[in-house]
Amino acid sequence: MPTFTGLQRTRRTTRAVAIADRVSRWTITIGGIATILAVATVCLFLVYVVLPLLVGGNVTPAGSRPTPATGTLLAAGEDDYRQLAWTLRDDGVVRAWATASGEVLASEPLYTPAEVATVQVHDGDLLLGYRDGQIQEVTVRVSSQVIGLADAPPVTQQLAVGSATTTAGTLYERTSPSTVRRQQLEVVRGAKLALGEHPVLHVDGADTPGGTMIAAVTGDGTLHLKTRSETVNLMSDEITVTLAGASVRLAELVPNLAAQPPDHVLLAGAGENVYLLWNHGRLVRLDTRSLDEPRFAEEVQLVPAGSSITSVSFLIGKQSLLVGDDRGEVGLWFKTKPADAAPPDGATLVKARAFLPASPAPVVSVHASVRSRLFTVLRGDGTTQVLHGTSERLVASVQIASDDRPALVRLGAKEDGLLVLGERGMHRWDLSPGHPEVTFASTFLPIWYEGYNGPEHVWQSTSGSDDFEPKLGLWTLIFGTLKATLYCLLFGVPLALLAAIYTSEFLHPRWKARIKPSIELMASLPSVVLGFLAALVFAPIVEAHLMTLLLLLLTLPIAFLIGAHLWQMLPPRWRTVGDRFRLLGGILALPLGLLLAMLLAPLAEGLLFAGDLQAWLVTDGDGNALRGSAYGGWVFALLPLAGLGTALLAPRLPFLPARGLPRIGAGALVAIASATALAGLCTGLGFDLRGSLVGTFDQRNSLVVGFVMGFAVIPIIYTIAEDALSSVPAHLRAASLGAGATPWQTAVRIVLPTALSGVFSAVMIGLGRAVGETMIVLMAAGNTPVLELNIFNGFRTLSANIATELPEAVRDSTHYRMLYLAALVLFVMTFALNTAAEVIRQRFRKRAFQL
Amino acid sequence: MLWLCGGSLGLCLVMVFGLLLLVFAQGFGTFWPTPLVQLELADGTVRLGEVTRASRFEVPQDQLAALPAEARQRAEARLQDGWSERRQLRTGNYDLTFEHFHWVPEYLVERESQPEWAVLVERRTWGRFYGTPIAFKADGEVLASEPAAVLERLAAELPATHERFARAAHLRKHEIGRLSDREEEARLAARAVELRHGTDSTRHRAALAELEQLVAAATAERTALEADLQRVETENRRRSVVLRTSTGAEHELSLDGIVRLFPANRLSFGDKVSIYVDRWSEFLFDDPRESNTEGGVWPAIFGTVLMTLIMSLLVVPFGVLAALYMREYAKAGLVISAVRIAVNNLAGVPSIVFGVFGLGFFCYIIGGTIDDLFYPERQPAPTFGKGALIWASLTLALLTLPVVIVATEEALSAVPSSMREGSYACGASKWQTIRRIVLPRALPGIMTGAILAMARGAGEVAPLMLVGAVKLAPELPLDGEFPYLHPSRSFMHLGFHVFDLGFQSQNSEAAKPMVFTTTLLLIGVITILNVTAIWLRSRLRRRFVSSQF
Repeated sequence: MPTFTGLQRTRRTTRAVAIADRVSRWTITIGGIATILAVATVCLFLVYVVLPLLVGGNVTPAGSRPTPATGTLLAAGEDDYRQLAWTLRDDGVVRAWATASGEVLASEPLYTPAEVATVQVHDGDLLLGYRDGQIQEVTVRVSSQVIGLADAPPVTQQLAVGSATTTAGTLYERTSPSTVRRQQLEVVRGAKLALGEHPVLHVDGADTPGGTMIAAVTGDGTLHLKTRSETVNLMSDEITVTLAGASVRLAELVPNLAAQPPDHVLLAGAGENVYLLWNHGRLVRLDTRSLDEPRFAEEVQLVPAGSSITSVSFLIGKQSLLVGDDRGEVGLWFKTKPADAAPPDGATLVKARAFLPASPAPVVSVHASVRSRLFTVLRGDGTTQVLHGTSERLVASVQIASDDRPALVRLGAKEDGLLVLGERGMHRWDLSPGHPEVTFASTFLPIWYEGYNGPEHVWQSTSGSDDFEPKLGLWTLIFGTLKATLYCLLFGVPLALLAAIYTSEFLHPRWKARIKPSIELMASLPSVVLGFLAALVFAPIVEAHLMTLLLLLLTLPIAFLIGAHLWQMLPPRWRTVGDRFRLLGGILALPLGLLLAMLLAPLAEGLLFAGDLQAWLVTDGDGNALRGSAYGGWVFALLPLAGLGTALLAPRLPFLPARGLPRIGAGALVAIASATALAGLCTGLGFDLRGSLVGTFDQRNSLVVGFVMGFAVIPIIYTIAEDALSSVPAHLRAASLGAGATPWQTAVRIVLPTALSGVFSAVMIGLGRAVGETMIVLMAAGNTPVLELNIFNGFRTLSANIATELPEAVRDSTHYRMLYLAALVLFVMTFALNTAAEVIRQRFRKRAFQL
Repeated sequence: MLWLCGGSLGLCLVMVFGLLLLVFAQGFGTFWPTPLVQLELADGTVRLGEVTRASRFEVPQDQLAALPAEARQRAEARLQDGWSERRQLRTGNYDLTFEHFHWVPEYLVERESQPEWAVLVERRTWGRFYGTPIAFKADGEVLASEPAAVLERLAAELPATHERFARAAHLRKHEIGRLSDREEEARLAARAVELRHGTDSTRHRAALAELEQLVAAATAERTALEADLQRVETENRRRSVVLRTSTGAEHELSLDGIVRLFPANRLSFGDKVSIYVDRWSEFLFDDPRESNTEGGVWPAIFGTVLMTLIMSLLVVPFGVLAALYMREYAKAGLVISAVRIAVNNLAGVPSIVFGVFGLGFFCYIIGGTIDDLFYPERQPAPTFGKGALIWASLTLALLTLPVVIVATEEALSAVPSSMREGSYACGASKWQTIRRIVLPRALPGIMTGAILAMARGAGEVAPLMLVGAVKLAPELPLDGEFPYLHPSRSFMHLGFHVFDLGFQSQNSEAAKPMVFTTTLLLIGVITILNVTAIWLRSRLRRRFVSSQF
């Protein structure tokens, strides 16, 4: 038992103090945690925005009901709000009904079946081909009109907002307390136009700047190519429709296939090609850029022999053709322009992709979206797939009841619904496609885009027209980022590390106290300033004095070596006194290097680069050089390497003179000789630097960006590396010097290896800064997304891309989310780099502490 | 090798100081008035202007061939191996010549002179004008026709004209603008009533009646003000000066459109200094003109400073709170060290990523929600749901938070634990210890962090492009209108100004000097902040070194 001393606390904590203590504890804890969480939100939010890209589409059943009539389906449609559906069957009657109730709203006979030979759907309109050789354009659509409540019929007055009712063949939906939307079927018949006397077997239309173009095949085996134009009589306001163009006998164009009329006639694009398709798989492409003179372009086999085509449709833009066959496969074909194309128009139709069924069943119907490259396929077993034509992503897959025979499929105009019509019933689904154009492959791998000759990495996010397809290949941007980083580090790392070694090992402490902060000051230079200087000051200088600047890389080290040699020739007493001014000597050597470079520039240009470096650099589109031989470039590129190699190998080359000027001279000779020999070898083997590392010169190029970004990176690497070197314990140095090593040997063999991990982490942090640098790149890199390593042209980085495109991206669109993905990639890259650097640094600290 | 190391360091130093020197020389040189040079060329044209640049170029043969035979011989004699010097002349007179600059090849120059009475006119629109004054007119009547007399008249009249111009600007912007603002506010208020109580409700009708009354009153007031404005402007347009350009064309300039006019070749050193000072003060305190290529950068300075201040007000308390929590309250463990590494690393995350976050989270989500809740009457035009001062400040606060946290933590850990223990032993509570012992000792360190954060924030541009910096903000975000500080307004920023001038302006050649001066200003602000931080740090270190032993 402890004895009680009798002493006890006599003063109690004041209430106010206790309360203050508690309040502050809670404030700090909550505030602190909240702040840390706020910082974490940055990452989480990026993920939150990007996530929908990964989540697929969503499809939910919206009911099935019997259709009001039977017979073969020719066409069908739905209105934009998906409340009215209509069909055209082979009895020639258009029927419309309310999708919710199934009530038939309208039933309008369009033609008598005996009169009409073919019905073709063209851009939502119907083209009828008559047996007497006439054609007619008929528009079947649902007219939609928002009217005031007062103008609507009495039944609508009690409707709740959002619900609908039908009366007198019209559907009314209450859209707001004061407005009602009126929807009804509308059939507009165009004038009948005569093509000839023979029945029209096939007809298709395309919109061209000069009016609607029409291609039709009639029973006598003639292909008619006409442009329909309307002229308005100013006096009577009468509209006269005329057809002008040519008619060609199919037997003349395609003698081998003309025995049987084609099964499909399609007009591609804006009428520049006519495709004639036979169900056994033949396609003939006609060049119809000149209407009067259609020409045979090529003949292609679309499906293997033995199978047959069951359904065809164009994707948006009418360039890509979807071909469904009886095996259930849907092939995607489009024109490419390879250099060796055989057809006279230089293009050839190729199969870029094939969409295979889960289980083999013939394709029954294919329908493409009118707003994107989404399309839907209905197969004989009742499965319906919604797919994306470029990314090949399967957005949704549904199945109709097995007691119905599938006939037709339609994708909603807003891509928000799916309508499958069977023999007996119609089946509806609500659809939200999400972001089908994006997949992992489309983001990071080459993709074969429409019109391209093969798979490529492309970033082209903004569109000139609706038919254009945004190409969101992030790899080009990542490549640009890496390219910027590479060239920046190539310049910055050696400079920063050498400077750091000098500062920590050889600089007088008093000088160091002044020089280090001034280099750190460089870190705080706003990058917009550097970018401005890069683009408006340095870029023109580099353009004008390219050769001199490249030579500087060579002559500066030489100038330093000359300086060093002169130094060695000083009497030892002077050398000791002058030791602290050596830095000044280094600075004085700079103009010497510059002078040398300027003197040598014309000589080098004449000798190695056929007189003009920039002209020598020019390459054509495929990276093939146009002027001069590759030899000069190799000599120039290999010279520094050879010099470095000779310097390193010098102790092992017995034939070199022992010391002094003769040794340096002989070394230089060896270096030059080996460089020219190697260059000859490389040229002899047919390698050319142009087209890979160097190429056509742009004013906005990687050289300038690398140089200026060096300004941004050098101070960081320098500071951290210098800190690491300085924290190497002094007793190691003392021991090394005591054992007889020179200061230089000590620095390289003792200090540097000890501090290596710290130095490494400095480089990593510099790397992180280079990866994320925005303004310099934005202003000086030209921002063209190209996949070339060429140091003399530009690039587009993730960060610059975000800065230029995000302000214009529509919120929550695919493009917007892709830019967030770009930001996330940047975030992850820099975060990983910095964490790695931090971990390495922690370990280094521990080690330095142990020493 | 040693020399290579030294050389690298030397190169780094030369690069830093060379760069600063370049910016300083160009920036400070911009406003110094240079003489006007008149060049008579072999092809008969005469050019008058300021020399801006010079370079060498290879003369194309067709240019030589186009010359008359005699002139061609002389020109060829002046060529050096087919190369010639050339000078870029700022010739101005854009409304007559449709160019601001002209390259004059040296081999064509027949005569060079500095006309005594040539004047440089800085105008409010169309850029500069160069010519010789030949008449001063009032109401079309010539009052003076000798250059000296014209200049004298001008010197007497210009200050009054400027005053009237300022008065007109004030009338237009503040008086009439205030009326429009009031009307707009009343309209919005009526719309808010409509949204809340329904169209045609009693209250809505009352609000509409009130609005109508207000508009009627405002219209009356506006008519009076506009008449006033009209009077002032007419008075200003009465006087004009006629100038003869180097090509002999005569051009009449209304005094209203003249900012500054001086005979550049007759200036004494004192005159030059006064013009120099005057131009600097215009640059620092005036609004920009001519799509930012002329005039001042006052709104940009103001925007930069205000944004940085708001940012600091946000970042410092929260940064300190977080650091205090991590260092003093949280239990040291794996979690905290992980958080510490994460916070450290955030300092290395690219600023554009923060901009992306700011745009999506602050502008679109938070701003959009605020708009929905509080400003339904302004929809669909966004109020907070776009780039705004407050979002820019918040984004940059987030960006600089790691800097403050790291600096504060370092400062806190540098306070020896013996001092804390001493305080506890004296019976102080934890908060008392922190407040009286720890924080005061860590204060310089915290301030260093704050200043570094400010310097970084002031220099960042990339995220601002996304969250609120604009090319030209019509209004300052801080003014005399209630509630004085308008956090939802866009603002101008020096860094963005540099970007915009250098890259978005059509006349980037004329904008270049402005870019240099703006750059100089920006570097100046940041350097001052940084030097303060470095100085504080060294002082702080000294204090700790002395207190540890």
